[in-house]
Amino acid sequence: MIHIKKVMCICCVLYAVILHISPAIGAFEYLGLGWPAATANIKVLGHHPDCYAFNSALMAETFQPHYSLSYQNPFQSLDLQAGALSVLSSIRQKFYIHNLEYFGDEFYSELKVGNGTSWTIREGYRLGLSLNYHRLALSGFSSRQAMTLSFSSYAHLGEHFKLGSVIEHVIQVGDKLSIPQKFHIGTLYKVGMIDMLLVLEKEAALPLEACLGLLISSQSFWEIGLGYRDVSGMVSAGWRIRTPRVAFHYVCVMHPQLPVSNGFGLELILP
Amino acid sequence: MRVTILILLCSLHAFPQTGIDLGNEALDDPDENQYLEQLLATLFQRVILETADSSVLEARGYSQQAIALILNWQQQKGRKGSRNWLSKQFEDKDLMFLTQDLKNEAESTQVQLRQRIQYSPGLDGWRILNKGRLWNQWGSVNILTEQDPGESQLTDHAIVTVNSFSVPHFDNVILGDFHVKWGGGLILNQQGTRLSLNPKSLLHKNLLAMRPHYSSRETDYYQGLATCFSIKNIQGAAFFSDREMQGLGSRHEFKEDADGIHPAGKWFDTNRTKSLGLALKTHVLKIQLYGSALFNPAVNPGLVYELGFSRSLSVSHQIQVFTNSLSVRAHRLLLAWSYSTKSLNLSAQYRRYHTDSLSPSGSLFTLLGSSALNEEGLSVRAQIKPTKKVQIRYALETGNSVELQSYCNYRTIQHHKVQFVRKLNGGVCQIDFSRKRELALWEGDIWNGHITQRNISKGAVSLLHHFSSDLKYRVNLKSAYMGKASALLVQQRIYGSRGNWKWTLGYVRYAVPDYTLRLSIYETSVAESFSFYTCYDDGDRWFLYVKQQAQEWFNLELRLVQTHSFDDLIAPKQLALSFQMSVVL
Repeated sequence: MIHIKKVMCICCVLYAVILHISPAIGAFEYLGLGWPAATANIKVLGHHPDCYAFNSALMAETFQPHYSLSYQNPFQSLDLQAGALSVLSSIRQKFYIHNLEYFGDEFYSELKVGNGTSWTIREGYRLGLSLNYHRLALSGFSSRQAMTLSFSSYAHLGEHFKLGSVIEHVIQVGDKLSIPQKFHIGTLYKVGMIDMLLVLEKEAALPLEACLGLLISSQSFWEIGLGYRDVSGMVSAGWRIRTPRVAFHYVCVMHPQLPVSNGFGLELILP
Repeated sequence: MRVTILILLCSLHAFPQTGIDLGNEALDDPDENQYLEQLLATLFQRVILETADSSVLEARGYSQQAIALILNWQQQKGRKGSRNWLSKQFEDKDLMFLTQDLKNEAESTQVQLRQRIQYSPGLDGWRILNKGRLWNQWGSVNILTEQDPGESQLTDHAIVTVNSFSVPHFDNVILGDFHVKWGGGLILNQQGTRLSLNPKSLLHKNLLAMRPHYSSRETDYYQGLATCFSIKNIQGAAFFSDREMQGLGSRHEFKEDADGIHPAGKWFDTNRTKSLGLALKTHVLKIQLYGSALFNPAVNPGLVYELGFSRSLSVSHQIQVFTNSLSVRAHRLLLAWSYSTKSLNLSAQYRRYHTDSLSPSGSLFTLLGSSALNEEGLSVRAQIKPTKKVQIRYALETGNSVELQSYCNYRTIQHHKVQFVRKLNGGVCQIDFSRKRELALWEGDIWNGHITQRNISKGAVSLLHHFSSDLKYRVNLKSAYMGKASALLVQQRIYGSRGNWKWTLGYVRYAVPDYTLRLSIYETSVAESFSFYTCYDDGDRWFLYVKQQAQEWFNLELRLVQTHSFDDLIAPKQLALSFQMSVVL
């Protein structure tokens, strides 16, 4: 009986997530995961491995190998778990991002594996490509899988102004699991310690969603992130502490119609 | 689609990583790009005009006269506009080779990327457009995806084309989506049938034209493989297409919904069309002979053809004849004549389309803006340039239906148009006047009352003034009358630029009560006004366009339009916007 209640509760939450949290999300797009969740889950621009996994064009040539682990307790008091591992590596002078994401519980699970890289077309402009594998499993049913390809771009237009865009899942192999295509375009404006982010996201036939993010950073030790998504009314906040080798973050995502989500992350930067 | 993306990715891989210095050790080990270049060079024999000697040019197929011109041109490096000059010296086959070789001279890979996000109240949502074009000396790849409001995927409207001028034995090869514009257009639908006052528009040139399809606003394109080739004195073009179209069907035709507007909730038919086409052109004495055939097994008749010839009677005279025949009773004929001197251009075209059968895929273009299949008509154009600063143009379109197919098409039309253009010191003044009479063929006959009779007169004055090199102003005053109904349009624009910024501020006051007058008064752009959907009824519109060239290779464009309708009490003011990011490398 307890299991049935749990399943019903989880199904209700998933239904609400897909329909209400944001029109720009569905399966495989849990909003509370990783440090970018603090700034309205804006990943099309930013300086974090989770952003690179999403928009691989953000990767520059000067990175060091980087491991990022995130854990989230979505919708407090439920048994849902969410976690992510991102690895930034270099092979023959080319940078690659590998990403593993998990969301679910003992009955329902989503798994996403992504690999991405980027090409510098000219100084200040890069194109990215990522290949993603998706697997969705529900207890009692056979799992469904799909492979998708996403394209991204990043333009660095001086110290203050940056632009990024992602065309997500534009090509899909395997039609048993339909992954919605998404378009993201956004800008980052930097003034002193503050990064202001404005991103427009459009998924399928759903309304366009504007996402606002604010990142206040000491440049060396701490960061504070705030975010707001206009259609869902979702608000997020978080902090991050980093040293040259280790970083730690906490993120809180609040939705008007769903329980609060809390998340933690640990990052290792290797020499 | 997937195969093309993979080709694109391979091409992208050809980019060297900038910012990474390769040491001598790295250079000793040839990289993948070098092998690829060598392989491509072996497969495709590319001609570099700047350095090619006579034997290479001869092997390419240039005539002796053309070879002499190219060798002479090579010795005049640095001459301003020399490539244009060279192009003007060539004709026919030599010109085709030259065009291809000039295109092939792009040594480095070039990229154009464009992403646009646009909101229009009329669309009730957002349109997202992604365009990419990548080309180098071996060929080009074009990709376009567009999503309109209500559509479920970014790729609901997708175009992919791979094009190469470098495939051995073929002048041009296109894989993917493409347009075909052959001959007089008697068996193929032709784009650009809008009334043009240019006398040269009545003559058909480049009878074997095929080009990649690269716009969501263009209809009647094919999907498959197309190629141009040359065998001795014969030039040819061929294609195979297998395409699924969505659109609206009627008794006579299937009209594709591919104009870039795909409103949600509309129910479309699907029509799969397989077509095979072949066209040949050659010169015999001074006559250019042309023939083409199109096979589509899904329609009757499945095979249609077109024959034509073109001859220059003297330096200034040219005639063209095109015909095709679907059956003994059903035939189409097109005659064109032109006379051209520096100060006077005259041309005339007679068209007669007669068929009682369904038109094949890519049905022929129709006369005078009607959708009738059976029409005959005469078009006349005249252009006089009495002085360097004055140009006068006249156009006549007249015709009528020759067989009843529907009430609305059973009519006769006379359309006169006069244009006067005067260049001023720092500006241009233009005056247009046109009168269109649209009548039932036999007025008072059995269908009297079903057929609309229209007399539309239109007058327009346009003034463009350059205040300085960075600031100019344009005003258009247009009015149209149809019986007691009248329409007025005042369009003003001021253009400015400073540094990396360009801007335009525009204002339109419109009073267009009737749909027919709307078509008439906008005329040059019925579908759009300031790149947004045409406004009509009674109201005004403000327009702001800002472009910033942030980098030499990067620009941002923003368009804002506010339309104020005086008649719409529910939503009198509507704001539309468009944001575009372009990368040109």
